[in-house]
Amino acid sequence: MADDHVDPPVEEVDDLGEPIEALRNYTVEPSSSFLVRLRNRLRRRDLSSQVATLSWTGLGTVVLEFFRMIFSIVDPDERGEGETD
Amino acid sequence: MSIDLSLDDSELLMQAQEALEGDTRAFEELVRRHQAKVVTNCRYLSGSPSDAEDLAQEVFVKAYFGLARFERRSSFETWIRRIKSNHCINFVTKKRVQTVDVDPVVAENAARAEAKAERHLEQEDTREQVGAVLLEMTETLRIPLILRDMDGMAYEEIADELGIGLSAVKMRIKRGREEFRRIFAEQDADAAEAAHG
Repeated sequence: MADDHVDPPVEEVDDLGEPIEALRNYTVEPSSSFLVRLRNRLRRRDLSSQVATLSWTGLGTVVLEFFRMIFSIVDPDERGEGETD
Repeated sequence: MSIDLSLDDSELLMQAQEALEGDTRAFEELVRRHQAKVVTNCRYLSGSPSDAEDLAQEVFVKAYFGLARFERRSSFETWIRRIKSNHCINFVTKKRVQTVDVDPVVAENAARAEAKAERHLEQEDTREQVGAVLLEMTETLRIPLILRDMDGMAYEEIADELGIGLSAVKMRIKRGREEFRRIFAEQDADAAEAAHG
């Protein structure tokens, strides 16, 4: 006879029951200011990331302008068309 | 224009992702729906009621700034659950590293004494007793128990999250449930004794 017997999987069915079952729906309400504080936190983070982006953009522009200035000194012939002394 | 409260999570999530920069209304509605669960989980995963709200806020901040990258392959609830368990487990690990110099027996006793004090404060009804029992449990058993029985995570997910084997997870959950029942029964006995004496 073929061996039809298959071992049941290792305990996958949860043996709950009280008081474990109480965990499923157990919640603690946050304080009433939770959402307001979160909103402020999001705004602060948003603002600081905008400031950081702006700072990098500003820095990038300054560096770019600096190199443009250097190149115009080193290679004064490279000027836009129609530019005259 | 206000948010339509009859929308389900996935529709709200879509609105939150498509919202203009600075418009957090749809996201706030999602937060409103899930905040209690996230705060509760953070409270008991970290074992630190005083840090719970801060941790929960950090979870939502991470979610908000990750909205653009979220591909909606899972529900908002599943996604936030993953962020939350990662964040809280990292918090517990860092805290463990910071307190490694403290004698573990002293630390354990102090934690138990603190939990016991908390227990007396919280032991007003069965619902609150659940919280007090969780705070009194050892961290090794409490975390897998919460992930499984409070959060409904699969055994495999818990194993991945904690970086341990599947059989170890099953064993810890089984022992966690035993410990939970034992402390719960002890508290009941204490309460009965206090009522009679």
